[in-house]
Amino acid sequence: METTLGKRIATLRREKELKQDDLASMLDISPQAVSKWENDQTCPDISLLPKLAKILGVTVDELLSGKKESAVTVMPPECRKDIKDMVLRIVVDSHEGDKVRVNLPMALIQVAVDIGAGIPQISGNNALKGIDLNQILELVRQGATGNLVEVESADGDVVHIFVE
Amino acid sequence: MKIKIKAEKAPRLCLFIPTSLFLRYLVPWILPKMQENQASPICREQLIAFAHALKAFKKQHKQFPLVQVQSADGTQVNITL
Repeated sequence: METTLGKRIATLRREKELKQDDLASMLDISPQAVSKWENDQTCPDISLLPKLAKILGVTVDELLSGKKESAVTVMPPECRKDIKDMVLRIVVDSHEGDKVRVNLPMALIQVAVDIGAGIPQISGNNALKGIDLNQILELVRQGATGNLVEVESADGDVVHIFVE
Repeated sequence: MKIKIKAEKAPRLCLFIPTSLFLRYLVPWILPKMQENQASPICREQLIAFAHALKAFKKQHKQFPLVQVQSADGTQVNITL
């Protein structure tokens, strides 16, 4: 995750496809306030943190510390999102300092798996080899969400695969 | 599709790729490379199904961030649908 709170808010907001105006209106504050947060000029008021974290899809701890809690949740059938609205996120932190984040819509993954496609390989990264897209898809069909895969290669590359 | 490249000591680059171009040329080129069993080539119907799914998703999720890369030297690449 990003190093400062402001950058984390900005990154998470973009992942949720929200504009600063949208986030501001959801929190009943001005867009300028959101902009100041994201530029690390000010911090969100403590009373807004729970609501902000909920909108951004993280816990308050994750938002403040920048450390993603690794948790897999199995949702009961009545609480599950439509698989076509879900996203598979592949996050790669290489030992050389490169960060790669790939967001793949589950709707497209379903079609790609039918074609026989596998997980996209990032050149030179061995951590992604052997990860079976079919198995991940099956887990998601069974209601699994969260950090499904966490791999560290011998080189020191770390790969997380989240479904949300 | 929009590709934005921001590198230090280099001008910023922003490429717009029309969806039709992406679907007609890039998808048929990319998908076979992702196939685990190269012996069964992707047929036209499968490509059409993929294209439909992509178009439907793009319509619902404008500016969807597909790829975000930040290299150790500070170069940033963002690809959005």
